[in-house]
Amino acid sequence: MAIAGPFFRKLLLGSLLLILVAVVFLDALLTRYTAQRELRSVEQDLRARAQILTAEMQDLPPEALAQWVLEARSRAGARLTVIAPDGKVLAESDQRPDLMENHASRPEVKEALAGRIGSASRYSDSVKREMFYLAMPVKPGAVPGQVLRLAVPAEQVERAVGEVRWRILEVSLAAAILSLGAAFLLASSLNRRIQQLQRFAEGLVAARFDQELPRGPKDEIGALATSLNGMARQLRDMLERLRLEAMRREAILSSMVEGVLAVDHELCVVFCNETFARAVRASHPVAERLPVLELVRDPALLEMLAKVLVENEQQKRRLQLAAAEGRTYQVHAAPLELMSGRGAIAVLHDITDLERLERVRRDFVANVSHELRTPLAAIQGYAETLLDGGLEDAENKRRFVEIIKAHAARLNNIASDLLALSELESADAGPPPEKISVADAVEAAVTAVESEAALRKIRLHRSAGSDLYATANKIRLEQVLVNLIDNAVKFNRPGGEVWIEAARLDEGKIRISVEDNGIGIPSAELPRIFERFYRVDKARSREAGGTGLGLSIVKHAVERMGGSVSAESQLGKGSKFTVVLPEG
Amino acid sequence: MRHFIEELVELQKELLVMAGLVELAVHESVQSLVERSHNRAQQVLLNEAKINQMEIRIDEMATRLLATQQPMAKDLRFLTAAIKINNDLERIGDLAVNIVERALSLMDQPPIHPAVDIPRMADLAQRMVHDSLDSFVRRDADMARNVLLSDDAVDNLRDETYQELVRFMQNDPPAISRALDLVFVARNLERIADHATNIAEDALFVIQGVDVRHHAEARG
Repeated sequence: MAIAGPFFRKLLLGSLLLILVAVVFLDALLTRYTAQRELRSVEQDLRARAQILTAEMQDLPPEALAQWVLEARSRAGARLTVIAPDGKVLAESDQRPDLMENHASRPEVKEALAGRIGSASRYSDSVKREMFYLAMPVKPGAVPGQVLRLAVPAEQVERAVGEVRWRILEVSLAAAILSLGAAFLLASSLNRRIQQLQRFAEGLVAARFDQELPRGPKDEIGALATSLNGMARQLRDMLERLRLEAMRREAILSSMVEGVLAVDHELCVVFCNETFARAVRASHPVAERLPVLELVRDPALLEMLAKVLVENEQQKRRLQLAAAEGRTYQVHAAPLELMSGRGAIAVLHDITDLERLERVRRDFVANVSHELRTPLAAIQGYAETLLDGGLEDAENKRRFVEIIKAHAARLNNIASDLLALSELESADAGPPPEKISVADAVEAAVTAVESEAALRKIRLHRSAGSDLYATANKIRLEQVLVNLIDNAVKFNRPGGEVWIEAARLDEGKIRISVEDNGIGIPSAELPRIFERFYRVDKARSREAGGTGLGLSIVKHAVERMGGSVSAESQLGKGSKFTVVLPEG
Repeated sequence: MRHFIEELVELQKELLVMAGLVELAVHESVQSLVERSHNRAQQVLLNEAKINQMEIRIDEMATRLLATQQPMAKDLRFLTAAIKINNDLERIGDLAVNIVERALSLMDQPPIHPAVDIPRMADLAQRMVHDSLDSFVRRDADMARNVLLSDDAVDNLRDETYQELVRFMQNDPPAISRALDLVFVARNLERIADHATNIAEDALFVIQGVDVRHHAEARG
């Protein structure tokens, strides 16, 4: 324990000063009192002796005076002086009277000459020491008459006073030491308790809430300790609640699929969640009070936040964020009450996929009508031509009927593809999957497209181990492979090549890939190729006899069999489709 | 002195607002081309005036600070970089307008399908603009260096696009004017990427005080 605290020093110094003043004061008082008492007793003593001596002197002849003085000196135990009424020294016990000066001016002699008893204490030139004098008229009533003066050394009084003073000093010193000890104990106890409180308070500042102050005496400091203990408990509870709250908030924010961004009135980030940081490709966590401009520069989003701050009203808008690779967001922005004033919070809901689905649905209706109308228009047109006299045109009627037949076949293809799709999409699981030889399925698919490939001078390479088996549906798997290989052949250049490969992946999966070195697919269109009726090059697709549903069927069929399909492509270099299926 | 620092912060803010507008312009110009959207094209043309005004304002601000404050070391580097980035951004805005003009011309004609990947090139160029600005804002030297490295990829793509379009024009003479539009789009995208590398160089200059312009080793 650091004892030399300023508080402790002050307390101790204060009591020391107090004790010192008390001792000095008491000492002075007692000394003075003792001195007076001692003086009085010496005076009384001298007076009694003087009275006896003056009585003796009544009958003394003047010539015997010198002798008597010498003789009486030892009896009196004091120096004796007899002084004439004019102040002349008549007789003196310790000195030759004729050498002494006139004593009329001495205060005690003056008094005695006036008929009273006089006393004084002073330094004597004759004997060179402090003396106490008492003078008395020899004959009371004879004014002025002879005076007898007794003198004793004052040191007698001093000695008595000194003796008493030493005792007083001893006692008061002992008292001082005792009270100083008591003061020390009290001060150090106070000091210790206050230091305890101080350390406790420092602990609170440093957020150590697990400490508790010992229960002390029930005084003011004890009460303070009790309040501090209560305060610490409350702080602990409050902090715990706050931490839980923050954790909960953090958990909610980080698990949200929506991006959340909150800014203050100066457009500085208050917080943002991981989703938002990821969307704008910033590292999370984002530094607090970062100007939002340094995080995202999209004018529309900034404008929205600024508008919320100014108008204090909710805003809702659909934005395409260039910063987030052009993804589309439904953004809700609302005012936010912050400790530092007004703020704004924006919640960004990624609706890119939703928008895409919406567009797919919209496009599907338009596409299906368009796909059906084209052959129907042709059939109707040629049928009308035939009716309007074409039947008589022997040269062309067969060609017209063949065109009608081709378009009817096309309609049929579309209808069966649509049926296949709807069957795949329906809740009905269809035939149960079985163990299928991948090599057999590839072989069957290759056989189906071989003639078309030969026509376009495209070489097919296949490598599928005979030991590879997939859990699949035979008809669907063959259809998937036919569609993929057919595409690889059709969207190729004359003399192109197609590779069909199958291999076993880890964790019980089979991978079948169909790769070509054909015309490829632009990257912007790649995500859409599995959509129904989506065509990269519409004219070319139709010319090749496609319905625009092939890849859509592939995707649905593969997913139906518990697998997945992916595509990669480089424009002008070729495409690669990969089907992954569970192993049989 | 505190006043000066505040002005620098304000300058960076203005520059970033302008950067946001320019990035949007590039994005919308490419989208207008891909989606054949008149709406988006108009948006870019409307934005152009705003970008030009901002360029003048930022230029005045930076020049005034240079003249009156006589900045030293880091602040001087920042100011000179800001002036250059401002210029690059304005040029990128102009190039976006060029792309929009080509897009508008293509919109009124039947689409052609040469085997060129304009969107991929556009993505790369946009990414470079975005990253170069981010590297400047975050003072991220690695990011800036990556931008310098991706310039080659854009150049390669442009060369491939040129070759493919030349082949396409030889086979389909009626489509020559439309294919030429695409040639110009590719050229504009490549130049946008060049300006992005300029910005990345300026960012490196601000961060490290190193001039990396025309240094082959920094470009890898």
